[in-house]
Amino acid sequence: MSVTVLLQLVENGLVLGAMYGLIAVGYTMVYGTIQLINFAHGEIFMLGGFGALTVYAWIPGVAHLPLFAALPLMLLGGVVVAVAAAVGAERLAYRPLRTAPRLAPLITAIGLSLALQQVVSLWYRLPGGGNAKAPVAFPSFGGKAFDLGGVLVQRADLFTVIAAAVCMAGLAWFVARTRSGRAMQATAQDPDTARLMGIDPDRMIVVAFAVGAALAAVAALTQGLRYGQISFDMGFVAGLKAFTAAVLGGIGNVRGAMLGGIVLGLAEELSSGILAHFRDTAQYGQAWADVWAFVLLILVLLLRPQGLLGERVADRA
Amino acid sequence: MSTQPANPPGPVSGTAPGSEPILQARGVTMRFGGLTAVDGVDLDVAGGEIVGLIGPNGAGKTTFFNCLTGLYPPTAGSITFRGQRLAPKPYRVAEAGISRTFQNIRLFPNMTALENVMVGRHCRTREGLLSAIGRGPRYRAAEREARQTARELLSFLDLDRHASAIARSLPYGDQRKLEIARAMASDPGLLLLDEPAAGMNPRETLALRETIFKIRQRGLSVVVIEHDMRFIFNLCDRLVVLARGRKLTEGRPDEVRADERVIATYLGTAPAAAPGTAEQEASDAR
Amino acid sequence: MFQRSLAVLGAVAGVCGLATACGSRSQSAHTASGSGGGATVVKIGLDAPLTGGLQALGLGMQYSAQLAVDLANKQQAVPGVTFQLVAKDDQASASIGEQNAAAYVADPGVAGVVGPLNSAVAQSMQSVFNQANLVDVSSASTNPSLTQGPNWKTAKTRAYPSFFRDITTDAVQGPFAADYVFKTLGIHSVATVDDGQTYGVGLVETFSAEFKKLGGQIALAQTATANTTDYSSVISAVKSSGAKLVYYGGEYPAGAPLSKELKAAGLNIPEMGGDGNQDPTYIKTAGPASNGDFATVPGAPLAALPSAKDFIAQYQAAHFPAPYAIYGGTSYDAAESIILSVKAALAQDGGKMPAGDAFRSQVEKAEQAVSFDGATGPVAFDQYGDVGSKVITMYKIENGAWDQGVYSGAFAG
Ligand SMILES: Nc1ncnc2c1ncn2[C@@H]1O[C@H](COP(=O)(O)OP(=O)(O)O)[C@@H](O)[C@H]1O
Ligand SMILES: [Mg+2]
Repeated sequence: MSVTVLLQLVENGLVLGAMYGLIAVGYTMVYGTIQLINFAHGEIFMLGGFGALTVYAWIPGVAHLPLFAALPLMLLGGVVVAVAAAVGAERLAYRPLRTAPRLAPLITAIGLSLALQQVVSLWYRLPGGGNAKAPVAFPSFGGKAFDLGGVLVQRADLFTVIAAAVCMAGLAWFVARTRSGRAMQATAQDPDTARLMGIDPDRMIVVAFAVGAALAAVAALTQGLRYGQISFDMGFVAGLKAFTAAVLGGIGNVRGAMLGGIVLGLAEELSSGILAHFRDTAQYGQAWADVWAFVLLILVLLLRPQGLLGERVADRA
Repeated sequence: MSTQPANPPGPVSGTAPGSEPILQARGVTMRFGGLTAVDGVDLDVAGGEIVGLIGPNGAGKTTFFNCLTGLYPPTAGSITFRGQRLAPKPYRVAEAGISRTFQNIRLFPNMTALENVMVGRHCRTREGLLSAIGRGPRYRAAEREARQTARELLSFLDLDRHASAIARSLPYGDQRKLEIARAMASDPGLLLLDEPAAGMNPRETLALRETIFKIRQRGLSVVVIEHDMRFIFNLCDRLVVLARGRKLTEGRPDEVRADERVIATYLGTAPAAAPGTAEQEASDAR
Repeated sequence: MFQRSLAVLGAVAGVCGLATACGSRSQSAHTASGSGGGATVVKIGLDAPLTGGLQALGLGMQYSAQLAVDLANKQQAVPGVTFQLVAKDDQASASIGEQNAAAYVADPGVAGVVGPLNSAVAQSMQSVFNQANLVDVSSASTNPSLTQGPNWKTAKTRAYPSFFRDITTDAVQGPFAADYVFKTLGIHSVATVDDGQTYGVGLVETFSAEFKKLGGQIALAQTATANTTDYSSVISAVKSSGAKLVYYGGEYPAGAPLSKELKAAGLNIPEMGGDGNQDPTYIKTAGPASNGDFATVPGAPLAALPSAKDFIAQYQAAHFPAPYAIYGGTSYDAAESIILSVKAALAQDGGKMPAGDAFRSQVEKAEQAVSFDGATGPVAFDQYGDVGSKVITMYKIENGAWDQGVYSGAFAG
């Protein structure tokens, strides 16, 4: 197994992990503010993809632009749709259950996730009558990959990594340098005290949902660009992985989410890639990637139950 | 040892007749199931007054603060601040101008001291989210103002050197002071301090008293819960004694000190009670 | 196909599946009520993935079976009987398929079922059908063990007397592809990727066995989950294996991204798949890089068959909302075979319809004896429930579309 192959696996893992991390931030932020595992977040991610595709397919002229010029518009569309869906879900589905037993919003989230899948699968239409019951094609970068001494970096990979870096920098700035960001952090660390500082927790919850959704939309765009398709059910697996990443990094911790994503992506690609490489272990390769990912999760949680960057917190009564 | 200091200017004692009290609590009652933690307590606080709230452990002092600040909606009673009836919503109470510290420290542990104080200023700043994302002039002005005020408060409490330290890494006494700085950031008219001297050494306690006088000079009224009797007698214009949720008596420190019931229920049993570090943290509200 | 990792979600997804299945049922009932006016209603089930990645194929199956039913009603094929198609969506999920099978069994009006598409789904449905002697004719599941038992390579035994299929098996499809790759394309080193499902694994197995027999080398054998779109680790292994072609066992929602990513990684080698890959969506997803990819489909190309002319004309005249796709012809014939069996069973009883179980056994017997000229050619079942046909067609993507079939022939073995 050559170094180039290994480096290629690392490259793949970083890119995949960056995408997981972008989605994981949404899980972690919502969990941090209201201790809810928003299982519908995977579908918010999916809706982000369809929002971007809608701009591309339905707004005349966008499809004829060069892709790099169309991307900002698609991104805007994806973000708008994902944020609207997330904020709407919070308002209509979760807020009425704020004081209900914890299981109620959790079940609601699962139901919502299936409902959103069905809505897209039943009612999404492409120009010309195509629907979204099957995976639909997503525009992708043409052109050759960049060859860095044998390690291929796809254009979409580059986009993914840059987008993730920009998002994380933006998020760090938002959390530390804006009034809303600090208020959100404060709410996460001590909600009652935050209320005493004049922070309206409802608003912070909305902000957490919205920011998480925006990053998920970015992730959806990178997914579409990388694989050339999006589908109504793509939020399921991606959501599960991102949730794993969030737990891995320490749920509630934003930097932990990104770190967890990258660790998970690397673990998946390296374990499956190395195993796939050798004849005797080939059958434990890609098909077992998820298994290795979860083995890693279990190991980390055995050693550090609070996750990689998580704080050991006393249970809040 | 210092003798009784001359109280700096301010209302001398009692509710100055004629001056409208800024806080009026009437019949405040808080029941937890069968337990009545606070039972029909009235309290008036005049502008610029320092009121001491004392009583044995479990008397309901912290619970009374929780009612005043909206953390617990009182079972009965009303709270009027600056002539306005307060809704039991913590963030409205903060806007109205009441802020507090906690018996068991409740800083935002993973934020810096400066950030803690800036969060304290939340309800006095406005920033459109869009202006922030675009980093517009409004955002920058608001951000600069909040930062300046926070720095000023840190130096007021002599915490400048800790500005960028993570809150939970601060020495205990400084964490208590940071809570005060954070509480003052919302420009309150009334500051509620819940055992601010707990865990402080005598020197720090003395400095704290001077700080509270300086706070009063800024025009704030203060209600302070404390077990350190020397501290409280030398600080307060007026004392209110709670026992088992009820107001036992109130009056000037020298009056209260002479009251037999107070001696029996409180001072007699626990003279010069040690600062309540190990006290029932659990009973403090969450 | 889409393997659900969380049992809970899987179960709730099942409920949703039922909901959509109900939707399509009312739709077909509506179509049926428009035609014919017999006294007795005999229902024919149709189970296929009507939503999800394989929808294009599933809808083709549904509408083709619908066409057979509509024509039978119009022509009064069985006097006094109105046929009604009851379509259910299995979402390519074995557990949903099993629930659908139970629902068909529970409805005494159902005389036979067409479908499903996926071999894994067929596998889970058969024990349910077999217990009730309810005839199931699959027009698309090609795994050999469904008819010839798990040890079909060494000892063939009929697995389920109630199961039939009118499509050639992978026992022919895989070897046919191996033969083509080795002899016609002259490629002697191949990497295989399967999706871990009954169909995909079976296809790769039969391909690999024949390819090795011919003297070729399987440079790499990989399994990837069916719901993956990320093949980066597989691809780096393919790259270092030096294979000149990737043989894929699975279906296009996962097969197309593989092709796209192979070429993006600079590997300009074709992907070849079975009938699961042969769909226009494959090309849309994989993009221009998919030019030169191959896929085999059991049977001769429908458009080129004289026997299918009528079917194609009728299908187009009916203006169904989706094309008949690759299993249209076999689905039409499967429905037709059940209609004929019902007719034969009724004739035995002098036109009266015997009660429930007895009727189903009679239909089962009649199905075994059925023999007619269908759209895809002569239809008659052997002792395992298979049709005799061994014809396969190799399709290739040229200029962004599947061609008319580069080569069509029977595989002799
Ligand atoms: N949230 C609560 N639920 C039930 N009982 C409480 C709660 N908070 C305080 N109490 C009870 O109310 C009484 C007064 O407590 P507290 O106000 O903390 O006393 P103090 O601050 O005067 O020491 C205690 O008996 C305490 O156990
Ligand atoms: Mg207390």
